[in-house]
Amino acid sequence: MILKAEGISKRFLRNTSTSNFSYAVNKTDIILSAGKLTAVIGKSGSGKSTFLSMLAGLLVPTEGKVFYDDKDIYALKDKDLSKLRNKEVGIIPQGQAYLPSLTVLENVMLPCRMYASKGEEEKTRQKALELLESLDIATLANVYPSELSGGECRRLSIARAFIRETGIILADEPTADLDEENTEIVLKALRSAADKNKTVLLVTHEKDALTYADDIYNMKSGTLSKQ
Amino acid sequence: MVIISAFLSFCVFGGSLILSSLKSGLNSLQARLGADIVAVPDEAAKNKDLEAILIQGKTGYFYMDRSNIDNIAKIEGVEAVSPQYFLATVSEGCCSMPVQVIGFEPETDFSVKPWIQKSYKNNIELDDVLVGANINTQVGDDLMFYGHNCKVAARLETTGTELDNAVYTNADTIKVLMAAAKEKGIELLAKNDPDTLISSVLIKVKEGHDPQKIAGEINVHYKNVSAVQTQSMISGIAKSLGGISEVVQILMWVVRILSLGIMIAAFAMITNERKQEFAVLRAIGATRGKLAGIILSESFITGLLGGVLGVALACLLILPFGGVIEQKTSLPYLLPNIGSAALAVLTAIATSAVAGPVAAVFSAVKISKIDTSLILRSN
Repeated sequence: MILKAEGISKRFLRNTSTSNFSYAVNKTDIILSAGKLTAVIGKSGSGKSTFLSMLAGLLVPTEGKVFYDDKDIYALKDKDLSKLRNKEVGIIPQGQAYLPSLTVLENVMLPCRMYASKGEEEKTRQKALELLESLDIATLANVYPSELSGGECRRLSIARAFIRETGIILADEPTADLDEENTEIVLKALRSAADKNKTVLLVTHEKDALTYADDIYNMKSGTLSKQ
Repeated sequence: MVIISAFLSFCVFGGSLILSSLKSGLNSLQARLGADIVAVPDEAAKNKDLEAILIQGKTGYFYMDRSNIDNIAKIEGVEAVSPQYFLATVSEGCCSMPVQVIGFEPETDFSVKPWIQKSYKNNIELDDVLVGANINTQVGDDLMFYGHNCKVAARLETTGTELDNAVYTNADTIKVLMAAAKEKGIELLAKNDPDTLISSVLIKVKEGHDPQKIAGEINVHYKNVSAVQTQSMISGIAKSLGGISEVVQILMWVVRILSLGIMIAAFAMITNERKQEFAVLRAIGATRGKLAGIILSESFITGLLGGVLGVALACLLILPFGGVIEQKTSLPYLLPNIGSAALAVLTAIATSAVAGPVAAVFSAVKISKIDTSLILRSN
């Protein structure tokens, strides 16, 4: 799947010395292709996460368009966009993002359960267990996320993003606060997804991640440039 | 949240249960009386306890000549008349217990018989007595009044009034008891033959005739007899009930408004604490409507659970104290029938179940508009 952004901007109301608005992302274009891991690097506050949220269909751009293949996602109704996000985008958010009342396994299965068809439950469970196995947290399948370490939580997020086998994977600072071993596990998982013909975008401020990327972009004050 | 919902449902159901029990008690009292007018001796009409003796089974007695029955029956507009006899027993050795014994004539009675027949369909034989629901005795037991033994033929169903503490019998039996009381030296009976005495005449007025006018006619034309409209006796109780009902209704509304306010605040707090969960759901494909639906359905389930819990608690805490409520309010108290009780249960549970989503609407709308990207970034 090709993810394309055309002139997207995000403007926030904020009083500065020169204007009442500030741009988190300013007229940015990008094309992400299947089978490639694209990394966007930049300092904190440079607009990377805002950019990723717009690509994920979670934040409406002030201007510009985002296309999944040829589909203008922000022209869709909320119901259709939500379903498209469930089917086509796996999001790995920053930090610890989970439902505390569900077990690790149930958290991973959640995207499939949201638009489930009859008879898929067991298949989903098997797939979730395989993903947890591949990320080395299968033994934690039945524990609650509050008992997980930071690295384990991030692996939970990755398993959840992979369970739907979506065409697009968007990862927002997936290695932040992780030790070397966990960072390597996470980056290898993203690289492996790209190798399986997924469109992978990695937003990070860590230079170590760049060795895994096919394309690297630099985000500075809301403006994207290719390295 | 379940506890707040339970509190709401407890108050709504408990309040309705108490109110409907008091109303049932009043209705039961009205039905039990059955008469439009009661004629009593003049001196009895001046007794401040008359109302309590006639409609609440308080112990007491008074007598007048039975010729008054025929005189009253002749008045135009009178449909039916039936005499009653009152005899208060004492706590001394000659009596099993101090109670009000009420005698009636099964042939003419239209007040006691319809109620008694619900519990006892046979003829009341000489020396048979029927006891009110609160009298502590069994069918077949012997009860002694003024040295005369009577047999308990039946226990009557609850009326919710003090009449549940009285004993009922036919005219023949009570005349025997009055004779026995006379022998024991009851002053009021000393100078008269019990066969010629009655305590009161219950009067039913024909449709289209004015009970007030007939009562006035009795008061003017018959010496030593006073006619009292039963409606005026019950209106005192109805007035007290109205006052209590108003206070309970106001309190129930205060509880409803307070509970709703607390629930709104609690839902807002809980939703705010859980906004990261909702952001995750949104990121994996939940629509804005789905997020609002989760909040509303959770609040409905919470309200429903609380409702059931509150009703169960109210049943446990209020039902056993009917007697205390009756005593403290001095009002007839009778639990409503199954249909009314079921309606009160359903109303309380439904109120609580609906209150949940109503209180959660604000939170649901708010969560449906969350800025997912901002929340996911700030977690």
